[in-house]
Amino acid sequence: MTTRAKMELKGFDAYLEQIQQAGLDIDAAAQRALAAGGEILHAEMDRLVPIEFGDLQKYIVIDGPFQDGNVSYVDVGVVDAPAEIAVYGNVQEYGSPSKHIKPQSYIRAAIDHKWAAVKKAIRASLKAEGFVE
Amino acid sequence: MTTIFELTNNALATLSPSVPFAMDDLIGELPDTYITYFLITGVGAEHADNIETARTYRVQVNIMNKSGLVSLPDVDTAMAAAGFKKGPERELPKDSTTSHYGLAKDYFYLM
Repeated sequence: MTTRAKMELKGFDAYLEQIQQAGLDIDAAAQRALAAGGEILHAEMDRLVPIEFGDLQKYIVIDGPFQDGNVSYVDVGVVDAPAEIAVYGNVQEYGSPSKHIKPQSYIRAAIDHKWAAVKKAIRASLKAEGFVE
Repeated sequence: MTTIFELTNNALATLSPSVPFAMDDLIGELPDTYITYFLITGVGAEHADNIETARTYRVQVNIMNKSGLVSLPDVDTAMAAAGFKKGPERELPKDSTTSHYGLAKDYFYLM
């Protein structure tokens, strides 16, 4: 049961192509950019997560960046949580209609609220490498 | 002005055969099949001259059914006819008390 967001650099092909053409370490640049975007998502999830005892909040983390072949990615959300915390996190995110529990979204809402800012941070990080306009 | 709640309500009301549905929560004894919906987010999508000109809404529609998820009301068609775009969906854990299975489906609407 997973409650997290996975970010890759799909949609940034043009930027990455320019970095690659400049002969730079594209993987390192991609991972720094993903880390920058992940920080923004993580902060928003941290702000939105419902807090009763704070147990769920403790397990909302940035996992990565990682590389799988030529794809770099980062996971942001509930990672490596004990089963009962993972279930609780899932119920908070999606609700439980038959138990009359409404969703209190902190994963999807964070993505919806901050996706533009995440893309901006990724672009800014890639620009900071000095090779994209 | 039409609200996202009115749009969702009107879309679900077109289901045939009809299915009991409610915003947020269905009160009372739960029928074998029912639907609830919930507004997850409403986020500004387009701006001009510092004024929001369009907003994207994400609505979660929960289809609950005691006999499983094989045969469910055709919510996709009803929502699409009202202008919603399909988003991600996921199975909800079976409720051990009421024996309802559940499918949560996200829909997006640009208004």
